[in-house]
Parts: sequence; structure tokens; C-alpha cells
Amino acid sequence: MARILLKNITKRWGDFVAVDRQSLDIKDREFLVLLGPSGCGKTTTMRMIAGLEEPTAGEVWIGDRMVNDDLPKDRDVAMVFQNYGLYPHMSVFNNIAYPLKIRKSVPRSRIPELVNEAAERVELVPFLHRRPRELSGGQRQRVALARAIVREPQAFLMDEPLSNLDAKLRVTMRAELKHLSHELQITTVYVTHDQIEAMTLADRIGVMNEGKIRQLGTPDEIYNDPANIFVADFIGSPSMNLISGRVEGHQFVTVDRHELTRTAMGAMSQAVLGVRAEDIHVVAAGSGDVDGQVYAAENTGENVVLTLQLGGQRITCKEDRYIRFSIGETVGLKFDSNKNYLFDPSTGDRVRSPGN
Amino acid sequence: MSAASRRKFWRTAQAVVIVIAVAIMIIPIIWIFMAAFKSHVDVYQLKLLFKPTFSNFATVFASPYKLGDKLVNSTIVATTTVAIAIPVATLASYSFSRFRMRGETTMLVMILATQFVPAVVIVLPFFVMFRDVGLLDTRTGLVLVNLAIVMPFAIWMIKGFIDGIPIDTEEAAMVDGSTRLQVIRNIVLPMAAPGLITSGIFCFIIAWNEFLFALIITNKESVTLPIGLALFKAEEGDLWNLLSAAGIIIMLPMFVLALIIRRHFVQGMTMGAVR
Repeated sequence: MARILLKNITKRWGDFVAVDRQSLDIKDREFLVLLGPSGCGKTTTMRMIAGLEEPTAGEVWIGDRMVNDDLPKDRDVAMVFQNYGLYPHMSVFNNIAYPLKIRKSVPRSRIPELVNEAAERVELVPFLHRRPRELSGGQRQRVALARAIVREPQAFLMDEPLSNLDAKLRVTMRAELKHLSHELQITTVYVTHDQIEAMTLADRIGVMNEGKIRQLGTPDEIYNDPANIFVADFIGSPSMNLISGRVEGHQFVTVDRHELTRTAMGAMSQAVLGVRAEDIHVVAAGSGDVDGQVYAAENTGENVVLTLQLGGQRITCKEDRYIRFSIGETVGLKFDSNKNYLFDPSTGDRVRSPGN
Repeated sequence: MSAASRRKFWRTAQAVVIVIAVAIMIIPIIWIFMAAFKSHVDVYQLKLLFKPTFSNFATVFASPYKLGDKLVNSTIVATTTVAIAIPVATLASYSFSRFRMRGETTMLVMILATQFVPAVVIVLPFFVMFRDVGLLDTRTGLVLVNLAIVMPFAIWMIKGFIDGIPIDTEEAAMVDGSTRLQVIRNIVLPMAAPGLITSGIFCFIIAWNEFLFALIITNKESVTLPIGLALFKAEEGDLWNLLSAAGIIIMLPMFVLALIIRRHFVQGMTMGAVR
């Protein structure tokens, strides 16, 4: 178990910058999720921690050691790969036992006991004699997990471990991972592009884009207190409404001169208002802050997602699943004046009023 | 013609074509098989019923032909060639497959390009060089020549198999605690084994059948089986019965290897990854 420290690490391939002077302090026993779209540098960051990629600049620390020059085998981390990376010519037992055998960290006689213990944790005991190709996707995933937990590494590194599973299995395995990480209490770095995985598993989330962490915080902070337009837009489904306009006398006015809601800031000549779909309520036409026309109504089963046309912009909101709307219908919108965010469109950063 | 009878016609036509194709390939081999067991007088007669004799085999192994010596030479040369070529080619292929280096593609193409040079063109320089360093008519010289012939082939073939091993598997082994050499020994070699066996057998066959270089650079001590066949040209003409017996001795190991390769080749093709 250990703290992982990244100091200004950079990875470049020619002109392409995959990770750009990134620093990160991962606490002992923390479950940190790196979240971002593909190509944002999250996997590269993890591979630099594992030693599978050499940083162009910067330092990687695991525990109290600088490990830049250490081979992957000497870093004492365990990794779960997206494609599992199982050894197809070995039985499940030998797959799980491999790290113990190769490291000689435990006496040979204890190996069966440890393998069984790990297999039990992920419910693989009946399959120990099988080859990986005789297992289903979910079972292979468990083998990869068991191989990681069979020894007690300094840290776990998980690279999109659930992305090859079907949707239903992914939800089950997610819960199992959560349970497992709670039991094992080992520092974990988890890479994913799935925001639900990030929200549910993480102690802290680092939202990455273009080689940099754009915001680092608890799931709660990331969701309810986004630091910039990228994070606001990336987290949440449907994604947050981002409406262009300006602020006059604590009032947000869209580019089409619709007055929407009161804001904390007094005046901004250019602003982007961020409002989550669930923080806008549909009321009878004329009785809300503004009126709009129904552009589309989608029933997802648990909600109705409504897209409204408001001048040149579209706004989505989530409504109770029993309410029905017809396209073209005029409805009123009521904004929750406490639950909106203002961003500076030139920098993309959040604008906060002093004292808020 | 009805649809059914037309179908029957085509099926018969297919069968006839296949039978003819197989016959063209098989009949010479059958002829050799029969000739090997015929006495000298029967060889030129196409009779199917004859009294088989093993005397041809006894004759080819006896003086003056001493095919046994050639068999030993061929076996040593082909086996040594494979024993050196496969490990070296495996390491080379692994490097080509897994490490990025300057001029990698050029090197790979150059290796392949050596195969485009007609052997007749380079056999004379080989002869001159070997004469100067005293390698003429030695098995060492033959092994060197054969290595030059099979290495490019082995490197390309094995690289194909190693490319098929997912990199994840190797990286997992490294994170699990293996050095690069342990990865090669514990992961790459077992996974590429069907490919290595297939390549080894192909190289053995090439070295075993190699004729041109052996003809030029050997004359007495290290003559191989294919060259040995030339011994059976006598004043009274070609000794077909002895030639056939020797031919069978050359072919037998190939049949056995072909059977082995068939099994491993399929395995090699379907090896693939667990995803």
C-alpha cells in the first residue's frame, strides 16, 4: 500500500503531447479514477505509473521511491488490462499463480492456498483447472482480477477493465469491484471513459482532456461544482445545458434576449450559463421564467427527456416519466436560481462571484 | 437436361478433374515406390504384379554407393541448420515485432530481398570464398549456406506468429514480475510454439532438399542425399531401381514431417488471442 506521486510528468511522441506536465498526488488507499474521452492521456498516465511507458519528463513516485528507472516488475504494482492479458496457454490456476511463482515472494507451498483464496474472492474456484478460452468474458475478467489481488501490491492499476463486458455484466462487476476495493483497501488508479463507473467507484475523480487533468475532486464536487466548461459538459447524462448570453443586473440574458434566471454575478458582457437538465422544471406556459417550444420528447422509461427550442438555442430538461408532451407545444421553464453555473466563454473557466 | 441430372453431371465432372489432378501428382510417386522394389530387369516394364525385392535398398547402402554416409551428412546438416536458425530467428523476429528501431522496415525488406537473388548468381562467390577459407566439402560450409537460405524465411514466418500474440499478455507478465527474458521464455515461446515447430519443419525441408549449393561446394566427404542421387548414373544408363530406392529414403522423413506439420499448422493458424 502506498501513496503515488506524479511530478510534472510529460509524455511526447514526436510532436504529439499525450500527457502535458501533469502532477498528481494519489493518497494511500485512495481509489482514484482518471476519466476522459479517448486520447486524453489517461491510459498513458497509468502506463507511466506501471512502467510500461517511459515519461519524457517528470518523476513518478510510488511510496517513498522514485521509480522512473525501475522496470515494471520492480514497481510492485498489479495491473488489470482492458483485454485482460491472460496467459492462454496456462490454466486459470496457473494464471493466478504466475505473479507468485515469478516473484518468489512466498514459499512455493503457500501458493495453492493463496490462489484459492483469491479465486474464492471472485468466485472462480470451480474454474481453476480450465483454460482462459473456455471461460466467458466476465469470468476472464475475474481471472485478471484474481491475478492482481493474489499478492498484496503497492497499488492496483486498472485500465478500462469493464469496457469489454456487456452492459448488464458491467453493472454487476462494477458493484463487485466496489466491494472488493472496500475489502482490500489498496491504492487504486482506475482509467475509464464511463462517467457512471467514475462516479460510483471513485474516492476522487481526475477529469482529463488533452493531456491534462481539468478538474480533480470527489464525485460530488465534479458533478455539482464543475470547474470549467469541459468538465460541466463531460459529466452528466444528458449533458449540462450550456447557454450563451450575458449577465445584466444579476439576470442572465440569452443572445436572443430571453431573460432566464437570476445569477450570483452582477454583470458579464459575455457568459455561458450551465444548468443541469434536472434543475429546470417545466410549468404551464406564461408562468415560468421563460416560454419555449417542445422540439422533441424522449421517454427513457425512468424519465422524459425534453428538448426545447428557445430562440436559436436548445435546452434539455428531465421531467417526470408520466408527463406527456407534444412536439411544437409551448411550455414554461422555471430555473432553480441556486443551481446554475457561469463560465467565461473565452477561457472556459468557471466564474464565481466573490463570497460564493 | 433436368436440374437434377445437370447437378449430377457437374458433380461427376468435378470428380473426374480431381482424380486427374491427383493422378498427375501421385503416379510418379507410385512409380518410384514400385521401381524401388523391382529388380533391374523389371524396371522398364509397367507390370503391377512383380516379386518385390529389398535388394535395391541393400545395394544403395553398400559400397560403392554408401548412401548411409550421405544420409548422415544430410541429417547432420539439416538438423544443425534448424537448431541454429530457429533460436536466432526467434530472437530476431521478437525484436522486429516488439521493438521500434531505426531502419527497421528497411532491414526487414533487405532480409526478404536476399531471397530474390537467383542462387546460381551467388553460388560461385560462395565457392571461391569457401575455397579460400577451407570450407569446401565440409558440413560446416553446408550449414552456413543453408542458414543463409533459411534465415530470411524463418524470420518472416516467426515474426508473423509473434505479431499475433497480443502485447497486453506480455505487458501483464512484465507487471506481474517477469524480466524481458522471462516473458520470452514463459509467455512468448509457449504461445508461439506451434509457429516455431512449423517454421522449424519448413526450414528442415528446405535444407534437406537443397541441391544447387551442395552440388557445387561438396564433392566427396560431405555429399548430401540429393547429390547422392547422381551416383546412380552408370555406363549402362540410369539405374532406376537404385535411384528410386534412394528417392524413397529422401522422401520418407518429408512424409513424416508433413504429417506433423499438418497438425501444428492448423494450431498455429488458430492460436490467436484470448479476448
